[in-house]
Amino acid sequence: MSQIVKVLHTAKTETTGDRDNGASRSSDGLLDIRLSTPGSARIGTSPEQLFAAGWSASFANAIALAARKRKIALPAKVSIDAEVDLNLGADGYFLSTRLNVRLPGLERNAAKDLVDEAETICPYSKATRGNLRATIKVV
Amino acid sequence: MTEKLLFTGKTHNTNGRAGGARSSDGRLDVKLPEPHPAAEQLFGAAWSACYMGAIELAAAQRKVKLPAGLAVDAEIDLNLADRAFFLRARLNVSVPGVEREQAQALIDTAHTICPYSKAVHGHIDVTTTLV
Repeated sequence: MSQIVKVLHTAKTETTGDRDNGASRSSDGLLDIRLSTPGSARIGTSPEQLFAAGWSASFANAIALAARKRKIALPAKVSIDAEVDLNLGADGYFLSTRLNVRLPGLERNAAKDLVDEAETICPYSKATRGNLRATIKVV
Repeated sequence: MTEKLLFTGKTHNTNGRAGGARSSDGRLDVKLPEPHPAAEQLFGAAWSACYMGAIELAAAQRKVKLPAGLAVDAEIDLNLADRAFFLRARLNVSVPGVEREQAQALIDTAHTICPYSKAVHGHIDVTTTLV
């Protein structure tokens, strides 16, 4: 049975150079960044920072969706601190991530339920399930 | 071989109309207004940049000289089916100055090196095209 798929939007980026000395720009110009080796003098960000920001933004939306489903009013100030590690092991390069979610004013169990459900909604959590170590916590 | 942590990217992210993401070193500082297409743009940029590093590594392993001008145009779709969100990706890669068969081998090998390709392997449709 074929599934009806709706494309909600397509993000287009053009990237030149590489992670140590590159640049990336989205077709709408909203994203326009330079890339550099972490800690180097060259101004620029890194794939790990970009991915941390992208995943968090999507995860925040997933939390909002989970809250709407449960008719829970979300605090105004939801924030996520994300860390994405680039590691080198026996099988080459791999990523690991930690998302620390703050839902101030929300009872801890309710907050934890929302975060658990968000993990099943967020397309980045789904896209990486089982392929990387992700630790998602309410702090 | 023991595991070695090479680098950690840290960002603080806030939601809502004035939401945004800022890295701990201040080098990334983007606004993420809602509704935002930013997550997919950020992922496209992150993956492309790392993937190009992987192409360079694959070239070095095979002793292929890569001329300047390597580029990746990435398209990341956010899709909805049966009330579930999922991603799909197209990477259009140009490797100017490298013979086509050789370039194809490099972009194929790069997916086995790039940690972002490995992270989504088997979970999202990825079409990689040599252009």
